[in-house]
Amino acid sequence: MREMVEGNGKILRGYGLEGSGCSLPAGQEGGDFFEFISCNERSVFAVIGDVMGKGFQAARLMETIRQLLRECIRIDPHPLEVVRRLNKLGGYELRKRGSFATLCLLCYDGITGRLTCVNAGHHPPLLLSNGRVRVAQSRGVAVGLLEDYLGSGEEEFFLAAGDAVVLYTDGLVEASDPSERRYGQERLKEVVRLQNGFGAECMKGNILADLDTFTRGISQKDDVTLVVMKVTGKAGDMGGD
Amino acid sequence: MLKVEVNAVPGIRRVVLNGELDMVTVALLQEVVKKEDEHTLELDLSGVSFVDSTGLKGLLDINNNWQQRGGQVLILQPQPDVAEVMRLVGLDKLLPQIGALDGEER
Repeated sequence: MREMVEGNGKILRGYGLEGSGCSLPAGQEGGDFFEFISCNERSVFAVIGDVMGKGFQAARLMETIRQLLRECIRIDPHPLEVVRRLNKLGGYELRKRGSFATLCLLCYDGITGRLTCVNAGHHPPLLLSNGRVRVAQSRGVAVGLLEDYLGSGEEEFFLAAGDAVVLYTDGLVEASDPSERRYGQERLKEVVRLQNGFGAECMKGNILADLDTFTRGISQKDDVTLVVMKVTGKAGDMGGD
Repeated sequence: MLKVEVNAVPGIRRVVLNGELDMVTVALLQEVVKKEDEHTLELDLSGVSFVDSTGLKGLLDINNNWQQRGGQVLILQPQPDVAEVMRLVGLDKLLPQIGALDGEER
């Protein structure tokens, strides 16, 4: 896997995927994060999350959750187990500080094209395939709210070359224009639908450009984090690069 | 912008909110609630059109504080979008909602 870090952005190439993500902070430090985490020679995780709160404490908790997330994947990379364990270990840290974290975890198998999704209170990913957009249905309680993770379990999709997945935080869909109207999931779905055929980096840029058009450039209250993953290769003929 | 009004009923404090509960306004709610000490705190969200993640954390903080004192917090009549974001995060598992404005009661 090759991962390039540029400023607030990261680009992933490997596993037959192109991934592109960025986090745009609004004012003081926030709790948004995203990660591409290599699991083995055929699987990679993409995770997006938001630790509640602002400032130094949220940023520090976010770093703790990121480290625990990597540790949980190392111990047992089964996606549902990762979230359950993270809720146990990270949930304790979060509850101690009266906080919680929303998180959506995706695991992509580059050989079979299988994408597994587990959600913990996060906005659902969007899947683009042949110009159609689907909203993942997996649901669950945010990390740290309950002692044991409670959710609908794993949701599976099988992706083909050209399919894409979009992960985002609430700062994107809750961004407002000068009239205080929200950007919303429906507008996001529509702009994603129009990205059929574009690469991940280009999709990310087009979505952010549409957001900027909507907000007319006014500063937002919350961080905006966006991750796009696009299947570039045919499932079955790639491994971890 | 958030307007906060407190109605007193014996044993209950009902705090009626109007506006948006977000990182700018949540401090006002916390300030008002801090002065209350009845067993039951009812937060009437029927006039709240938007809650962001900081607002959700504010509600959780209030609930935690109340529970530590042996009290309870009830959420009254959240608008559908607000009820949905509380469901998405799972906060509805901790904060009982009564009379959601979409007609659903849980």
